[in-house]
Amino acid sequence: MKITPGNLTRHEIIGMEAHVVMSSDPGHVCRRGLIADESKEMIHISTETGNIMVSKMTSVFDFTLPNGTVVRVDGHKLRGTPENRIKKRQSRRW
Amino acid sequence: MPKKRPRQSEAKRLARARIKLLWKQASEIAKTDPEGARQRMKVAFKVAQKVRIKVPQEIKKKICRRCGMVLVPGENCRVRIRNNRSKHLTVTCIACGNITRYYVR
Repeated sequence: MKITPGNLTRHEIIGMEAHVVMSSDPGHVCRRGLIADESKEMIHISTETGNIMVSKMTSVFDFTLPNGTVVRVDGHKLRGTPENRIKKRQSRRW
Repeated sequence: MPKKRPRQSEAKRLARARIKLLWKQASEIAKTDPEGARQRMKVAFKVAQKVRIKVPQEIKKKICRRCGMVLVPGENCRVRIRNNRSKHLTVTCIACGNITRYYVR
């Protein structure tokens, strides 16, 4: 099953390229790198200048899918452990 | 009324794709970043457990059952053919010393 913008929040984000667009910590804004690990509340990004841990709840991310598409996701939608996100259903308003 | 597709089957398909993806990454970085590879396979096993599917046998045989390391022959594991009682293959994890035996029928 390929990664699409529709199933991104239920798919694997480890190994994907991420860009922090907004964050409550100004030091994390505009940092870019590959996602090394993921926990319930945090995303570990390995950037050129070192590894950082970004909070999911208070950040907005730009993910680059394998086919080159860039998807902007509110970190709030990614809350939960990687194995628990599989069965999560997102409520859509469109 | 159209029948609603069961969610479980979709979750299983998604989980299989995720396990495949994680294994691909783990096997690529096994030499350079063994701890990262181990972490990825840990997630893969958790995902499989959650949706109640099995991790493929060919993947399982390349992971240490005790410490979870991705085994690369000549790098962090020792593979020997032995012939005591019956012919078998022993795979020793150098990181933790765990021995796995595969008997040849």
